[in-house]
Amino acid sequence: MASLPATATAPTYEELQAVVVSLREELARATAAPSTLAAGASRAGTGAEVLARARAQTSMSAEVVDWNPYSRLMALQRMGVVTDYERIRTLTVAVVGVGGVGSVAAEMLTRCGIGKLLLFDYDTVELANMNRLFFRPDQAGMTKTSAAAATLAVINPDVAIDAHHYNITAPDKFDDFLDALQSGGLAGQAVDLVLSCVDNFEARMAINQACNELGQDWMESGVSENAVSGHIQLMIPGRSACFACAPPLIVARKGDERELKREGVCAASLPTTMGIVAGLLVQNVLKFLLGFGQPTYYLGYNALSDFFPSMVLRPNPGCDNSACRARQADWAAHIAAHPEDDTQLGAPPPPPPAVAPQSTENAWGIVIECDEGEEERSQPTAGGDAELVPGVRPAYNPDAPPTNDALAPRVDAADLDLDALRAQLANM
Amino acid sequence: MAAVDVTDTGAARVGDDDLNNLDEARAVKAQIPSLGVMAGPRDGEEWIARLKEEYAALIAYAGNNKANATDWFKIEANKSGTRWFGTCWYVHNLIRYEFELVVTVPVTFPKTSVAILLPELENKTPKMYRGGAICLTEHFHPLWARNVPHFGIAHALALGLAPWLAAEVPHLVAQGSIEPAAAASSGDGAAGSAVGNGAAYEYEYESDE
Repeated sequence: MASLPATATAPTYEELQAVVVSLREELARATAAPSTLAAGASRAGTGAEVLARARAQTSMSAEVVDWNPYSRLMALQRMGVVTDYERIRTLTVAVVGVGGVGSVAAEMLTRCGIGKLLLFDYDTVELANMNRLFFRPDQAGMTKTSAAAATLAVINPDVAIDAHHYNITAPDKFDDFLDALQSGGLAGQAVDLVLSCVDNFEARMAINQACNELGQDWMESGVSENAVSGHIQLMIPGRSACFACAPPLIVARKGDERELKREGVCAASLPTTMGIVAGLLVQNVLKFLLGFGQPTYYLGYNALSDFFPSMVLRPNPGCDNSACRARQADWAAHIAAHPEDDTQLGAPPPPPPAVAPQSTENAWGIVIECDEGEEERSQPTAGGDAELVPGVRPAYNPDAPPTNDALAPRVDAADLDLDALRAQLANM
Repeated sequence: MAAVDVTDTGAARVGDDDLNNLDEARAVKAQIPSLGVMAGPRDGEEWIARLKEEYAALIAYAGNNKANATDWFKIEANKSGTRWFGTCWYVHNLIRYEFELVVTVPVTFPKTSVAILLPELENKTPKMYRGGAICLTEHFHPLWARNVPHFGIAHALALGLAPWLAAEVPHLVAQGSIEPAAAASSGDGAAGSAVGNGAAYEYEYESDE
């Protein structure tokens, strides 16, 4: 809220002008969302009743009529792809980073009828974001979380949305973040999955730390700075590699990576690569949460050569993240007590019970000879913890002797007084 | 900015070289005491031990700079040691340019490096992320990753910020987007009043109490 500086004297002309400007901005922000909706409605030409459709009464209808937003999704059940699609209404997903990938992933989940979304971002929408999907130019200046929440609520009012506008890597916000993941579910329980759609290493490591501490399943996604490759990765703390278990992986590229870099540009981005990675990510979310097909543990994408490496990444027993090692110990203890749960990572989930197709007519006499998918799934996964698939190599070896030879001797500050040090530096 | 005649030599910009193998980086690493406590802002007493090391390394580095008349920054921290602020300056063609400096410590520190912000330069160079954080991805983050937990804030300034300034300031001057420091005492790196914006400085400190 704009206000005048508290001074003893009367406000100056300049101060009053500044207040007018800030009040105008505030008014513009406050009126932006409704007017956008109205514009959308008049374009649709069907009146205000379509602005926000009514919330679904009780459950997802499978009725195939043009006013049912879920008919095509419920058809997945009829076709035997998903056993219980409607379970998605009970699930909560946290999207960390509502940028080029996160906003699109959030829209996909919203359209799929997810029960609840938690959004985390500290950024605002800028015109420089308009080469990506989802945000509109008229949302420039709004926080990404509030702009996204407004759009998503119109697309599907059945989805509960909880927006958090802060930087999760800030030490004073991290506890809030942990709390939200722990109790952000529809019934106050932990969320079902966390999606990392952030654009920097610090934030990924912060999510990794949070999820290792909470034993929270999460998926990581990323698009390279040159915008032509990306990846997704599934992390089940203690069972699959955490983000700190393996050194960053580099997908071999044809030609020299440096040639692709434009001088003087820190990060490029394409709506195509972002959209593809968001699609791969949410596809994996649906498979993982609704239990169909085989979720991937790592899937890379190189746009230049259409190269899609995939692999299982197992946890590193010597991971330097203590919470990761604790989850690995938890899992080992669980396996000792429940050997039946010791399915190999990457093994297929139990195949969904075959659902008879609704139509029993077979006028054309079509016969299914062999289900290729089944055959493929029954093949054992390639073993070997350290094996990387062809074309993928580590960026560096963390176990290699460090470059300590060049380091100066370690500082000895244990017995010094912090306040004295603070004063000494301040006086330099 | 027409007052300064600058020839853009097209010198190597940040990211063109892997600093790991440069003699310069070796020299800096040998000069700044290394750190050893593997603890971040959430680690209680251990973080205090780490913070002492951070201070001691910064004091040693700044003292060295002063002794060699290559002083180029002034920095202080809030009580919790999670936010550092001050000023840094760079001399180009005998003219001094000065910038407000902010260093933020992420919750994952020291596994991940600090962020270094020059808020005044936001939108003036593409080698920067939103919020004024300088781009460290190419030239410094890999180096930091290889030296955890031995690198501290002093190393981030010396090997992250200093080469960034050396590469970017000449460009910023050439395109006329920065002005010389108000009381430009040309050429003398060790010039007296390092802290420029006393008001903002005080405010940041107070805000953490």
